[in-house]
Amino acid sequence: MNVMATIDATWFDLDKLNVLVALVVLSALILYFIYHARRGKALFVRRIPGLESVEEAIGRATELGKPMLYVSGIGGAGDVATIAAMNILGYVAEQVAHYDTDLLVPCIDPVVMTIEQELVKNSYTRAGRPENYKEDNVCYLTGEQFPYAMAVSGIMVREKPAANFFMGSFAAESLILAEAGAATGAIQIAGTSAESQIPFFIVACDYTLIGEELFAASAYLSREPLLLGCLKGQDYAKLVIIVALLAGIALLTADVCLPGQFSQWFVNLFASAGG
Amino acid sequence: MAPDTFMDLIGVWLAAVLSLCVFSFLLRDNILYRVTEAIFVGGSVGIGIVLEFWNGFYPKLIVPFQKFVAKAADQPPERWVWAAYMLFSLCLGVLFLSRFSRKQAWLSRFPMAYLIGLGTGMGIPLGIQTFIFEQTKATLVPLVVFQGELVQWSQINWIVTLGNTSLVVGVLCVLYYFFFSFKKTDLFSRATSRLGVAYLMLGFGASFGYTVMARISLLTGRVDFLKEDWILGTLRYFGW
Repeated sequence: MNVMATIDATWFDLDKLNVLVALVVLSALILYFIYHARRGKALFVRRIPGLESVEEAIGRATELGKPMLYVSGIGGAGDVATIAAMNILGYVAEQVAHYDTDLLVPCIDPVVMTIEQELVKNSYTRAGRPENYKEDNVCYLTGEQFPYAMAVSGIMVREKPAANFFMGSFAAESLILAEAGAATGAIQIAGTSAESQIPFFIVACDYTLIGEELFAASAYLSREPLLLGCLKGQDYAKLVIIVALLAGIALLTADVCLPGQFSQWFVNLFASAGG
Repeated sequence: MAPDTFMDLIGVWLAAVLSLCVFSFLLRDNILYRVTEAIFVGGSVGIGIVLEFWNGFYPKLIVPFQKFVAKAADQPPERWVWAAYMLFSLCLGVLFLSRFSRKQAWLSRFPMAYLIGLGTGMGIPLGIQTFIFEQTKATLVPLVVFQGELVQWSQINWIVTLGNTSLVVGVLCVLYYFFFSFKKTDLFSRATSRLGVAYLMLGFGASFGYTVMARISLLTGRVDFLKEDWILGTLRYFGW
C-alpha cells in the first residue's frame, strides 16, 4: 500500500501560541514603562559596582597615558550579548574621546568590526572630537577563537593597556584573555551572559558584570528614558515569572498532598513545541 | 606511536616546536611567541577565507545559481523567488565592500541593519522559549515529595524534598537579585539578594572547578603528545 505524505506550510504555529502571548505581555510592559519614562517620570536603577568603575578605568588610562582595550567577545553581530557589548562600547568610546586616550578594539568578526567602527566614530563625533578617531584602532584580527585569544594576549603584553574591558559573548578563551590582562597589571572590567565563563572573569578581573547586568549596563550608563523604561519593564516581567512560578509550585505541591491532576494544565502552559 | 613517514615526523616536530613556543609566553613575551602568534593568526585567516569560499560561497551560491541559469526557461515561479532572494543576499553582502570607499561607506549600514534586525528578531522568540519557558518549566516542582502512595509525614522523601525546596528558593532569590529598578532597602530585600548572590557563587564555584578539570585534561593531552608522539615517536622512527 502506498502512503502519500503531504506537508502543508502554515503561517502560524499554534504550538508556539504561548511564546506569542509572553511576547505580547513583555512588549506591553516594556512599552508602558518607556511611555512613562519619556513623559519624564524618574525611574530608579540600583547601583551596579562594575559599571561605576568604568569612569575610574578611563581616568586611570588617561593619567598613565596608556591605551584602553575593549574586547566585545566572540559572538556574531546578531548575538544579543554582542549587541549589549556594542551599547557599552558606544558609551566608553564617548568618554574616551573627551580625554584623548586611545581605545583599541580588536574584533573576531568582520561584520562586528564594521559596526563597531561606525559606533566608535559616531561616539567621537558626539563627543565633539571626530578628529581623534583612528579607524585602525578598531581592527579585525582573525575569525578563529584561539588565534584571536593569542593575538589579543599579544596586544595586551605589547601595548600594555591601562584598562581592559571584556564584554559580550565568551567561551573557553575568557580565562586566557583575563589572565594575560591581569599579568600586565591593567584594571579589568568584564561582563558576559555565558554563565560558564563568569567564574573565570570573577577570579581574574577587578569587576564583573554577572549575566543580565550586562544587558542592564547600557540603561545604567546612558540613563536614557527609552532604555530605563525597558529595564523597568523587564523587571516587571520577572515579577510575572515569579508569580507564575509560585502559583505553579503551589498547585504541584497541592497535587502531591491532595492527589489529583489539576496542576498539569499549568505545567503545559510552558511546554514548547517538541519539548 | 611512531610517525609512519618522514613527512609525518616533520608534522609532529612542527606541532611540538610551535607548542613549546606558545608555552614560552608563560615566562614572558618573546620573539618565538610572536612568530608563532603571527603563523597562527595568519594561518587561521587564510584557512578561514578558503573554507568560507569552498564551504559557503561556492556550494550555496555559485553551484545552485549555475544550475538555475542552465535551465532558467523551465524554472517554476518559486525558484525565481529563490533566485531573487539569493541575488538580494549577494547584493547585501557586496554592500559591505563599500567600506573601502569613504564616500560610499554609508551603504554598508544596510547589511549591518539587516543582520542586527535578523539576529534580534530570531533571538527574542527563541530566548523566550529557551531561557524563560524551559527554565520555568524545569523549576515547577512540588515542594514536598512522598516515597510511596501514602500521604503521611513519615513517608516524606527528605532528600528530594530538600533538593526541590533548595532549587525553588535559589531560583527565586537569584531572580530577585536581578531586579534593577526596585529599591532594596528593607531587611527582607537585602537578605533575599544576598542569598541570591550566595547561590550564584556556589554555582560559579562548581562551574569553575569543573572547567579547570577539563583544562588540566587538555594540558595533560598536550604534555602526553610531547612525550609520546614527539620524543618517544622520534626515537622509535629512527629505531632507537
